Amino acid sequence: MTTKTATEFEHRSLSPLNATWAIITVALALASHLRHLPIWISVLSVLLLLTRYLLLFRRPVRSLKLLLGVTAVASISGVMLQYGTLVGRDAGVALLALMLSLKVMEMKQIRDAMLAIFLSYFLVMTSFFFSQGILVSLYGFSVVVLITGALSALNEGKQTTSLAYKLKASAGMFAYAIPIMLLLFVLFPRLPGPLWAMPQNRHSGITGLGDEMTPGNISQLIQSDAVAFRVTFDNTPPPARDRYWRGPVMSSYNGRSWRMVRSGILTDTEQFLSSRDLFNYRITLEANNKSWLFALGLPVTHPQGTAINTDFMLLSKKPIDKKFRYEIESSLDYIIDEELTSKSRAQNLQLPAKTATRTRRLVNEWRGSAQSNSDIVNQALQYFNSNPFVYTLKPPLLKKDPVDQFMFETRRGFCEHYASSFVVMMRAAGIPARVVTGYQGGEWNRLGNYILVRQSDAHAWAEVWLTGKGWVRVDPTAAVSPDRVELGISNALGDEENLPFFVRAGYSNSIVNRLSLLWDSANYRWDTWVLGFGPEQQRALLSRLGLDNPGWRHLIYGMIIGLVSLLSLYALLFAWHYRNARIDPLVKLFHQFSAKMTRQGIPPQPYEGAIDYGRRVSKTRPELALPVQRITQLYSHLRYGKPCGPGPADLQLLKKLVRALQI
Amino acid sequence: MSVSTLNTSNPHQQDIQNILGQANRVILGKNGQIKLALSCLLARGHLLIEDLPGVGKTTLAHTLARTLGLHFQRIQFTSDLLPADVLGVSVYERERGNFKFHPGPIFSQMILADEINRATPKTQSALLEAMEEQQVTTEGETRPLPTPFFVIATQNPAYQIGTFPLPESQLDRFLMCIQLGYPDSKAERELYLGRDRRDMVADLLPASDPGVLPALQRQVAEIHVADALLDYLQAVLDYTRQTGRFKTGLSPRAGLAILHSAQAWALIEGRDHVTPEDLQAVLPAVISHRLRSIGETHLSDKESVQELIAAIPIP
Repeated sequence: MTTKTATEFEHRSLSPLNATWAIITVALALASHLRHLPIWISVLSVLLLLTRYLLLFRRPVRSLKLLLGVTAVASISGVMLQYGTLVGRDAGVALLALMLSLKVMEMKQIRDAMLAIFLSYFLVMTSFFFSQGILVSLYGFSVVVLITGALSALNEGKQTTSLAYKLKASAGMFAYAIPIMLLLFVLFPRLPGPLWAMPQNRHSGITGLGDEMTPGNISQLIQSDAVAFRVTFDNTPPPARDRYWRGPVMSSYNGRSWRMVRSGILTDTEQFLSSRDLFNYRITLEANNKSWLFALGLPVTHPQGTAINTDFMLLSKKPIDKKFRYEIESSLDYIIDEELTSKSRAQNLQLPAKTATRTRRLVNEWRGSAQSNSDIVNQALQYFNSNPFVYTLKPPLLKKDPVDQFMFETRRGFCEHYASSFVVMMRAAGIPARVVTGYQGGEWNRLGNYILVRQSDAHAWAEVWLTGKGWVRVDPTAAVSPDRVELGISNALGDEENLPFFVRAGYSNSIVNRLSLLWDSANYRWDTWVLGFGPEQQRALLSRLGLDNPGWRHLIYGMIIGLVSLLSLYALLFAWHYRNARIDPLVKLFHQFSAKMTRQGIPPQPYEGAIDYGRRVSKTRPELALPVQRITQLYSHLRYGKPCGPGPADLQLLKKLVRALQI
Repeated sequence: MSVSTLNTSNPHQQDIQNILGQANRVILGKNGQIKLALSCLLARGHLLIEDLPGVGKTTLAHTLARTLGLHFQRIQFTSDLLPADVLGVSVYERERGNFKFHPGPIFSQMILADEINRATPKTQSALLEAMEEQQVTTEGETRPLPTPFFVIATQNPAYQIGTFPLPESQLDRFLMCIQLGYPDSKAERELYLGRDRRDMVADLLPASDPGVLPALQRQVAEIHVADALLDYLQAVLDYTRQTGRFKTGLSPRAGLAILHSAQAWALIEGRDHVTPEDLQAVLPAVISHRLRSIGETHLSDKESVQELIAAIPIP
């Protein structure tokens, strides 16, 4: 098709069918944004598209242009009011969505529809600014296949094919593109860190453990089945009762809530190890906007950008505002702080005056009879165990002096109540103690071989300092409800406790559970291998393929080689597909002739027989009629009239005639 | 080989030119349709003409019959026409004391079945069966029809009330379906100035010997079909089968119909082989009544067949 006819084609008016195609593709592209667009923009866009569709069946409306102008100005001001700007991710996408809907309103010619369709591609891609999950990607892919189908519908003119045929063709193009996409994805040199900073909105709704613990915090958190992090172990993971994922350590108490205290950085943790039995594992932490990480027991090595403090907490230098993956080694066999500094001792014995007076009295009684500090620890656990304490998500509200009220009156509480009152008791008895929050247990995903830790696994426990043993973990909740630690939260609480669906007992073997495990494991793989595919993962994957430590030069060579071989493979496939259409010398000669004529501005049409072509050429260039018709007739005769194909003499003659054609 | 011998001399080429010339003198400005009708006849097929009354359907049939020297019968189809009225009936003859078969109008070489869609399906199928079998079976006795045997049926597409349109399976029995259409203004003027057509037809003399038509029909089968042309034919068939534009693609029978018609057309054009141009020339007439496009009811307008041709590159 020459440029002239191409422009003519573009200016042809749009058929209702093709207009519908364009409207549908724009609608589908918009649908990927409905989740995060303000409601008025979604409603306005949908209304515009709907109006355009209804207008297909009516006479053109004359005042439409004015109305559109007004709407356009109103939309721009609306976006300006909503976001305070017209640029940036959110405002930009909102503006694009509105303008695209308005463009659809004024579609008249094929080129308008083309523009709408090309912009739909772009609009679909912008949805990846907001989310890159599996479902969003799948949706994006299918919409792009549809848009490509629409594009081919638009280019068909009057000769239409069915919807299924177009979609098949469009999907076929994708099938060819996918290997190329994978090749570029795997081999494209990766930079550490994101290529550019996405202007992201803060994670306002994200839940997680805070740097302060007041009774009620954690039982709130338990209501959420959101994922906190996922862990893969190199070897066998420790049993559930030892899986205490340590998070914030809190030593400052004001009579009601516990807080973290600033502490120094440890440079060497190996000195505390009693044995070299280490657990090597990788954690993928969901964004929580906090600057601490979770680890089992004592972290021995720590990932870059992090440090271990004297409370042996793992700290990150900047808040975790996006999914963070780290590899770490931990020991469960250690003695830390054999000698306690006086400052630390004072901090961990601190109790506000005039609180928990009854508790202090009780502890003093024990102090009298106890031989050692461990006896007091056991006595306290015994107290929880032998008195009618209840482990529940719905503890009664505690008012003044919560520890005393809990210990002697209500006796119904959640892990934070037990941890908090236990530490108060220890401090009252003169044993340094502190509260530790984090997660306990986690669900083993056998499909993906990893441990899934949800917010509902949040937990609080205590650590006491004992002479000769250093800091020792004590979980008072275990004294009340051993099931919590052995079997997990769902088995420790009754069904009436309003646990989130995914955490309830009795569900763990159901098909829903298996599906949810499958889905979670798919998400995990997607996160690790697609979204989190950075330089590390690239190196790991390539070394598995036998390429150790490739430089970026190697990657680029690899990409070029891969691309060339893929394209050659496609060429071979096509050649095999069209193997019967091998160009014979006769057709080649005719191509030489038609190339000569094409240079004269009279190209042959693909559907045109040689004789017809000769006649057409003769009509426009009568002076060439004789030689041209000799060629076309001879060609037609040789190609269609010779039972055993043209002989060498025939070809020679045609060659001579084509050569002799001087223009 | 030199270009001058491209057109293989055919002993009957002159006859073909005579036939066409004579027909063109009576029916003005319809050279294409006359050639299509003749190639239909040469390919031993039957012809369906779909058009309004008064455009010259009867004159065309009559002219062809006279020019070729064929015995001609016209059957006007009506709703009360019975199969026996077409095929013939046995009547008891008292003098001889036995039944004697009185052959119906179908026992002629050329039949004009006028307004075929007015008759009941029973009568229609009696005719169509005879067309297919080239013989008539009544009262247990089979009687061969004369050769050559050629049916031109007409159908009025405009007034469909009280008619029985031919089912698709029976449309397939017709090799071609053509429209005559209005003549162009020059031809029409000539028609008004000229002699009465009925007189002209009555005065026509056969333009060829009786043996010429069978000989030409035999020659059609010998027209060469190259592999490259079969590639093209299959590309056309595949297109109708695979694009999903049509309810059903073309059948192998339709493929054969295209091929035979193209061979006949090539013979008329004076070639000993079929070229893509020949195939394109007969394609609208051969496939327009065989294809149902999705959405539309009928692929009646030849324009859309032209678009179909334009969509398929010649291999």
